[in-house]
Amino acid sequence: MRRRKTRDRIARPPQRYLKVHTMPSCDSETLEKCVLDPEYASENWEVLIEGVASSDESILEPATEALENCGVLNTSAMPKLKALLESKSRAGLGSQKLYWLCTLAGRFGKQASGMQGLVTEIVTDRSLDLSVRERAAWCLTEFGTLESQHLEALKRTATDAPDRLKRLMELAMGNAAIA
Amino acid sequence: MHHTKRSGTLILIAVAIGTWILPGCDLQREDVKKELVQDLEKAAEDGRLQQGLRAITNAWQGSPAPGQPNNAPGAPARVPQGYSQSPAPGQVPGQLVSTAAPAATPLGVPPRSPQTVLIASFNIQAFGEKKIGVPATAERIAAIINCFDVVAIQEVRALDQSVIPQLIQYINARGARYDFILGPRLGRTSSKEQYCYIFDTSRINSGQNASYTVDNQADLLHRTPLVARFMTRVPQGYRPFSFSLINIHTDPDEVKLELPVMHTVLQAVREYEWSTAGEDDVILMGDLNAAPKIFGNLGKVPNIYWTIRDQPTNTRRTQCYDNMLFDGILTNEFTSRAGVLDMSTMFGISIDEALKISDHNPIWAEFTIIEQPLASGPSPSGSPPATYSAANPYGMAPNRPAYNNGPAYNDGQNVR
Repeated sequence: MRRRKTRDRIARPPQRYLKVHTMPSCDSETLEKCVLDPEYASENWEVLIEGVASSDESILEPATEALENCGVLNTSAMPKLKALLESKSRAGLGSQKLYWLCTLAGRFGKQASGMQGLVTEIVTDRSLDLSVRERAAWCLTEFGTLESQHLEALKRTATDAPDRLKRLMELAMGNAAIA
Repeated sequence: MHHTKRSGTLILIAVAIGTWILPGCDLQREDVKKELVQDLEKAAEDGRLQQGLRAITNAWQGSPAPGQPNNAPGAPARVPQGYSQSPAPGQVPGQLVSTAAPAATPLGVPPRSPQTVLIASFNIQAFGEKKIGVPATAERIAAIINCFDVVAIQEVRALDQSVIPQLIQYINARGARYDFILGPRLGRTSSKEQYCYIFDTSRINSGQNASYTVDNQADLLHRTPLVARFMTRVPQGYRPFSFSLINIHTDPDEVKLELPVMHTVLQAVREYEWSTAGEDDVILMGDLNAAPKIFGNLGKVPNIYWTIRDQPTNTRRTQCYDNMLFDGILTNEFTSRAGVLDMSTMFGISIDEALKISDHNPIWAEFTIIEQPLASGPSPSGSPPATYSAANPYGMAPNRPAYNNGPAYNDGQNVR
């Protein structure tokens, strides 16, 4: 009897049970609602981030479209966004999710400049997909400020970076200098 | 309607030019236009088109003889009621210019006419298998496209390349003869987007071979513009209006980076079109994700004219994202009529219903079906631009080498 209870707990951990019931799933109904209503999309950005990693076009395309149009997220989303960009979390995310996480971070502008260290790590990480590094560099251009150690890291990476990435890094450094 | 330059005028012209000779012709231009000219000759046998044009020339009580421009001696002496011979700014003296209020449908879009062509731009928000799979939505999109002669479409998003042919079936369901040009799949993520042109082949000549993607080696734009060349079908003896369209959809997150490049895209394509095809009418159109107030250098291009001034172009009627820009002197085929087609008004549906079609309303502009002679008088601002000449409007060497993959452009810092 005692064993059986333990098995039940493992099969249905309370945390997981809660999550399933508070966040909409990445189904076509939710996605369509997100496409039609940017505010709803903004509230459900985590669902959309899951969607952009899908190989199923019927999920990928509306998720991308909704993320493109959802605008700036509520500032309450920032801690979660930051947690996802931490190196431990981002390892398993994949290029598509990272690209959009950087996009969402960049939309906050100066408000999210506290993430500049994490974003700089992405820009300078040569193992990452170029499109992700470029979007991270764009993100830095939106932050407008750069701490000296991040500025130095960018300078080092910019010397042999591909053209577009280099251009964006230089823009970020230029913007930071102005700020 | 809010056009200051030529408001309230409808230009009706009959320019008979027997030959199609332009400076700066080369083999590429010949290849591209050979088929178009052949088709054009066939178009003279098109009963509907001829009938319409005959009706106009009869109304004028005498059209200019073939090969004789209508500002030469022999141009019509009698002017029908409602028209004056006062030239509009930038137009040839002697042109017939309407002083009557333009006819328009309740939607504001003029009815299809044998004397004019309607060019539109429409971002069909994530147009893919899902939208084409809903017949009510597909039929509404088809009905919108049926209002126009050429439509530049943004946001075709589908792995399945049959979505546009399926849309064409909807458009042609009632006997129309539309065809399409589809660009390559573009984008930096796994979600790709295609540009498309859909045009009425009974009124417009073009084809997949008459299109190219702008050279984007420097990777300055997320979705490199698709350029296509078009020519109206007119009866033999009339010079068709030929034009090149640049279809663009900027990345909403990178508008600040992409918009400053846009004037160099326009300039590069204009130079390329002039040098390879002798084309002076180049129209940049699409979803710029920007209102005119932030056009920057694009809004400062000499003689630049944009058709949407302050109207919202999104379905929610809150933002101006889409526009159509061209040289206000060179593209004097523009009749001054342009606007936004409100989908909810067109179909009598709520904005929420209209959003199921797209989050953008289509924008449109009207042009004469016949090529207008270039103005020789002063520009509306009082003096011609420094680089402008009727024979060579961009000061281009006619034998400028062509690019393999369309013209290149720069980052806007050093304008070519």
